[in-house]
Amino acid sequence: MINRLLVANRGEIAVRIIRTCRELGIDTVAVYSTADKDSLHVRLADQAVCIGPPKSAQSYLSIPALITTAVRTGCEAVHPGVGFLSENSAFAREVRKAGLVWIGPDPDVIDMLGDKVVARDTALKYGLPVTPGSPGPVSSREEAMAVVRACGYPVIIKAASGGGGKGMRIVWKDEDLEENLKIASREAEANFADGTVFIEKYLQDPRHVELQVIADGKGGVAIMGERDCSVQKNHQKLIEESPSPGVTPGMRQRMSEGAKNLFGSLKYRGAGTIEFLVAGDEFFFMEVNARIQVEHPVSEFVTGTDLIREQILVCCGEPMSIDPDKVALNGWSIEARINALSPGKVTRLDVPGGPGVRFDSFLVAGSSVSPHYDSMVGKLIVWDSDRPKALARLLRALGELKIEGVPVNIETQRKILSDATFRSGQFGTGLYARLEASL
Amino acid sequence: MDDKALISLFELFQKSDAAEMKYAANGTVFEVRRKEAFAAVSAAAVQNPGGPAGAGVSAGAGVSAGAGIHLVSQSIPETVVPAAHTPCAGKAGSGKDGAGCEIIKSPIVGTFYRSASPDAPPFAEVGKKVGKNQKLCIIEAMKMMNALESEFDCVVEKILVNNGDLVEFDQALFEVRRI
Repeated sequence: MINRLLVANRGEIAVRIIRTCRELGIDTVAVYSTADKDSLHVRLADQAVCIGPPKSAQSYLSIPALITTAVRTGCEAVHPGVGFLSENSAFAREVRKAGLVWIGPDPDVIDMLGDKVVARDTALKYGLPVTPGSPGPVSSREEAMAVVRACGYPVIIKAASGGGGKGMRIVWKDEDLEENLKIASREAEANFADGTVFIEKYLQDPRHVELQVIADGKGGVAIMGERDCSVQKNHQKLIEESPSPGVTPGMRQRMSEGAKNLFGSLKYRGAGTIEFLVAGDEFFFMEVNARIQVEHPVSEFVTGTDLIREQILVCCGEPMSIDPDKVALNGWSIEARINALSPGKVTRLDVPGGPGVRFDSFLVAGSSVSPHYDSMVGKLIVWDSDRPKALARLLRALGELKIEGVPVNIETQRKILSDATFRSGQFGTGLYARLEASL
Repeated sequence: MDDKALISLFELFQKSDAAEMKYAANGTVFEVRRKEAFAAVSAAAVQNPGGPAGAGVSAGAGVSAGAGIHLVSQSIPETVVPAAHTPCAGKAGSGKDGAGCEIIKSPIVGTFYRSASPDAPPFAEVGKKVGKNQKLCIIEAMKMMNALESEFDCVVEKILVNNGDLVEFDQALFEVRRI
């Protein structure tokens, strides 16, 4: 086992990693930019090194600064956290080249999963469904009709080189298909200088569901239940829960089997997440995130594990302390992300407590929220035996959480959690947009 | 240089993304910097105890506007990174003793070396003069030898770190006196 680890990150995830390391008896070296001089992760770590100015490119994203610090402080491993360099295979390779343990999957696996086409083909190979659609470009009505007959309406026509909604047309019936195919191709040509389009099944208001995975690098894969992250503002997750109100035991089993095959065959090592879009009782592979995720605490609550500990153990070649065949989901956990609406200095901080309440944050009274970094300042996570009880607990805890000096989104989160549709559990990724006017 | 040339240089700078620009010809030196170039200086100034942070920032920026320290990577000689240097805390403006006293700080995290190799003489010695564009030390990061050069003539008053030390970004390395 290792004795010292560099935490190549900041904020709450750095604090989270340091806490587990202390329990494991691993010394931690924190890195910080001049903007984070007084941050909690700097205070909690055994040692802290200033690696650069506030701009991330010259500090938290500076591979030479991080490697130099890790080597010179006698670290044996590097934990990249989330964001920043956590899925950067070049950094992972440099860490290994320096003779250090990378707390993450093999750099080649990161590259493979980062390529959307390869990842999709690999998922298909291991029996995970992908969004049905044309295998290649579609140019004639006949080709389009063949796709529609296979997957049914509604369908979405997308530009192959597209993005940002341009060249996208949703079609509901045969009569509109040919015309929309032409329009989409013209839009694609005008916007991307490439008129190539393809057709996919259009999922209406799907749920975002993901499985938490811990794998030992030898083919052993533990599926730590799912998380539902359907409450999103412009693709930014706001509320996450485990289990998902929209996943049946049958679906969970089918998802888990496919994921086990995929991660097992890749000899995946460490923590990872496999994301799906869910519509009704169907699910479709989206992508794999080859790292720990912000919302991991809800999975920790329902499985009773420390995922960061398991991640470090397997990456250091130790066996995981989870029996992959005996993972049981117990009760219900919900997380509300606490985001700063503008930078500032915290003048008052009251942290909620009581049973089943956890507040992961880098804030203390007097902390500064810098304009240089992510707006998330904390995560309020609760657990109780079922969803209604967990919701009541989260609303109670949000009521106790007081942050002054920095405006935060507590009120918005209370409104979403009190919304009848959210409480019914029957909603998809379109929920936030529908609620936005009333928030 | 006439006003017109000066204005056109300034406009050129404004249109660019550069944080700083230096123009030198026929004995004229024209140097402009955006506030981004002072990020490191500002942060260092804020660390100074006593006095509001705002005052510290402007003092730091004012001092560095005239000259700076160049970090020249030896394997890529054209790489130039401006480093922070601030007036000595407590001495600045306190009369004859404090005049021209500057702290030179590390622009990167790395290993501090006083000489080019273990058997070579040190670049800088206490009490000795270091001329403009002369090397003060080398900071090694990932086997890249980065030479730190002085941008003004000075006398080294104190060397604040030991040969082979890991130095942090913004860490004080030398106390020097401008001459």
